Amino acid sequence: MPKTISRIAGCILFILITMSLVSLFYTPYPVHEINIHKRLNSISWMHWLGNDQYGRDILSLIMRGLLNSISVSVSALLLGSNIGIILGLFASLYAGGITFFIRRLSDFIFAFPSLIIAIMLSLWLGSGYLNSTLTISIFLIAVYIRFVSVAARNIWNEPYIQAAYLCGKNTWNILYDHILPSILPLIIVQSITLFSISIIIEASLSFIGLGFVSPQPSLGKMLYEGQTYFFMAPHIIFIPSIILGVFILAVQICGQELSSYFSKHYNIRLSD
Amino acid sequence: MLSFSLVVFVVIRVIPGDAATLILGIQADDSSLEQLRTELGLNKPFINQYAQWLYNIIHLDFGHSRLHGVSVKQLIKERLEVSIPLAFLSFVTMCIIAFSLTLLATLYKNIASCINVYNFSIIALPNFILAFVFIYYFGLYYMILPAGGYPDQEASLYIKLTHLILPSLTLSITQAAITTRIWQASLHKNMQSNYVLLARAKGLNTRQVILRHALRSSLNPVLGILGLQTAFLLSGIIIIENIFALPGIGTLLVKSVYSRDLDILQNLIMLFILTVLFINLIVDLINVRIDPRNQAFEDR
Repeated sequence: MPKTISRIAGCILFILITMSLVSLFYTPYPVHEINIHKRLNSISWMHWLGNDQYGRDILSLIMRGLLNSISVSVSALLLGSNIGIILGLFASLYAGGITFFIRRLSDFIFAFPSLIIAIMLSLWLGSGYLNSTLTISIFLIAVYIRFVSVAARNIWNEPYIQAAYLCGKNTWNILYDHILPSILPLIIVQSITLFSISIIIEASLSFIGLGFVSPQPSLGKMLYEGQTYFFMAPHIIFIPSIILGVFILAVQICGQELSSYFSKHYNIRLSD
Repeated sequence: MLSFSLVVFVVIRVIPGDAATLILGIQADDSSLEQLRTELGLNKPFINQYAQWLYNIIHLDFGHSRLHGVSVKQLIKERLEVSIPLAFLSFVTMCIIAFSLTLLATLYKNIASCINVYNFSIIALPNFILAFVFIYYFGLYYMILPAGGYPDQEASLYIKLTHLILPSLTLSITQAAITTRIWQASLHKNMQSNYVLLARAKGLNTRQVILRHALRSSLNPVLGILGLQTAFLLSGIIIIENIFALPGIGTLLVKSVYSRDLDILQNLIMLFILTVLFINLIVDLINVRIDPRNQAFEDR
């Protein structure tokens, strides 16, 4: 990945995240302000990105919607990664029944397509913030269990772990002092990729109507609601899609850059 | 499989509370609620209900949809006539695209970076964005293909097929990008191994080396990812059918979530999961056929 591209991606990411944070205390127009005269208006000086089917300002909607999408993904990531990493480390620890159980658990979750999990949860919780967060984090737990347990298993076989045992450290100390730090770069890089994936899942959930409930905007929901007006005013579909696509792409490019940074870093350390 | 069915049953039947209230609404009086409960067998203990459901499934009796007024079996069968061709078509297109892109990228080094950038950006985009672009250009702007919907049963095969082209293309392009990426990496790794060196020393050119030797052994991780991708493909089908307004199982699923049609939901979700498990099984079996080394790991 050339340096310029990743710099541009970083800038875009920074701008979009700042935009979404700014929406907490300032949006160009109030987010829910309905102005029926300006219904389906295209891009203009008054409304930079046009108006949607109720005459709401699309720029304000996008700012708040991006914040909602990001907050769902981040909270799902925090929940999923904590549980997943702990379970994954456990799974790498013992070769007995617990490991078998945890591995089966992650296989079990993988067999459900994530939208199916969402549908089952939505019967229980109704749609909304909690539902999307839980759905995404259940999917993430399975992913984390799988790759953390494999990575940690490889490190248990390293000679320096046996050296640490000989120094008199017990298993828990080794787990905390040696295993966790050495898989941390991997976890960080994976988390960024998973962040972009969970943004995609969130958008798909809102898109079939299982994400945020109606007054709250989200990028996927703007697409879902704008679908009917696609023929008359394509911009109310295309603008949120472009923003969503650019955001996800920027996140992925930054993740790629970070992973190449870590691998470089690691090669240097290994050759010492 | 039993444990899957138990989870599905518990989540759908037990957790959302009283199914009778869900169907009749909160204002319903007690006597009609009681009558419906007896009719649905909700008065029986939980184990009995579960056993009854399993018994019915084994006898291919999937219950009755209260909303559509027909048996779930017939409903699902009708919907599958749309979804199976869609899935099959997108799978075939996916294989063709992935195969040609991989070969191109491996044979011609200067195209490879273009293909990499293309793959990277396609993977990053959710597939419904692609769907909108397709609908806009092919369906509305150039009017080549229908933008959505599905013809009646009597329509000719050709017309039905034209309605499936855009959805399957949308589904397959995203999937193909992931497959290409993995296939390309695996092929690249194989091209640096000793047996390829030997084949070159024998005097074969690059094309012959790839087609005769490297391609087969590079298939192994690709098949592994194909099993995982069926889960993504099914999620994709749910979304894409909703965008293109195809009357397939995806739209049925979303619709019955809104109308709380529990009989359909229960059986459809089971169908989805069984499909994923079944395809994963097939993939594992094929994997053993292609690469005999895997037999050693079978009892993992």
